[in-house]
Amino acid sequence: MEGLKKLLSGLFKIDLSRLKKLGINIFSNNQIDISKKIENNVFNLNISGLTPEDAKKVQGEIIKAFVKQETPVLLKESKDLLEDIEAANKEQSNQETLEYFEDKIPLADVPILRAALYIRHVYRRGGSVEKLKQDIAFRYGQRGRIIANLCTAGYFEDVFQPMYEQMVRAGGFSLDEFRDRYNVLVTQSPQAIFVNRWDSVESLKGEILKKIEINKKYKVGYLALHGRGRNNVNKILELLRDADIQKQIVGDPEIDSKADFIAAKIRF
Amino acid sequence: MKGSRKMEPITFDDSAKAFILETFDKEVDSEGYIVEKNNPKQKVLTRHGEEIKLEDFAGIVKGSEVFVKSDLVSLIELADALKR
Repeated sequence: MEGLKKLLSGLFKIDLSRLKKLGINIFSNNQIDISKKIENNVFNLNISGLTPEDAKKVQGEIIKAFVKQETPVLLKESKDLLEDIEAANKEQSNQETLEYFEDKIPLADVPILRAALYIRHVYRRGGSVEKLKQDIAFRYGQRGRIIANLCTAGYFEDVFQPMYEQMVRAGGFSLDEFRDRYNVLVTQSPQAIFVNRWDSVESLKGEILKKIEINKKYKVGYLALHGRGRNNVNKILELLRDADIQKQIVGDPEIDSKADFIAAKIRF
Repeated sequence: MKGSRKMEPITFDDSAKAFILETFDKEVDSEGYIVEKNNPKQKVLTRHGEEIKLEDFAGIVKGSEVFVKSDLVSLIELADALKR
């Protein structure tokens, strides 16, 4: 990028050579006068302020930096997301979970889990995850969305890992058998229901009763209900008061709830 | 893409996407897809063979001009590739 810095130094009569880690961000806005501004060690270049000749010179230097120095050319918000992904990858808990499961779950699920761990990282700090979940669903379909939900809810550490270790302890263990059970949980997610804004209370009630029946058959004695947003919280609370559902459950539900979030566990 | 991570990237805003595409002899067709400027019928593809719309364009990294999409999965793959 030295060539580009040198060119910009010449164009704007400013010495950029001393700024070793200077970033360059390019934008276009003909409503503002400022054609250059250094902020947070980034030179913001407004190309609408350049003559066509100077614009061509800038483009030439970008190509040179790209070809000769392998400088990536990235959308700023994508660069920020990339850095956030790299930071999340380095978190010990995420590394441990990924390393634990990467040779146990189907190979095709490993990149999904990696993406799901990043979504969980964002969720835990209060960030918005809906677009990120859509990205996973777009590439990996409904399976991707389910794995992302299960990961956010802690299922990999709290359900799949104990399940694997129990199977190893029980003897006669095969990885295929673990993967079969894992696949059942992922494809049908029988132990969890994630309430979305388009789910009606009636359809959710049907789903809950069906999953209670399946879980009883497989001797799984609980079902977790998760919801974000006030409407979804209210739906779950209404379902927990439903007479038909109450007939099936034992004891009081365990509820972790705030105004816009709920996780309820029912036992049977 | 080996070694790319050592270099601070050049970044751009949405407003400069057309300028960046022009830099690499690309443009946008009538349906919003990025295409080769000297052969507009040839759509630019990601390393997975996906066509890219301008709204999904996130940049270019070295490796025979690998075009990157802005979704989470593509950027995770890029993070992995830049680590190597």
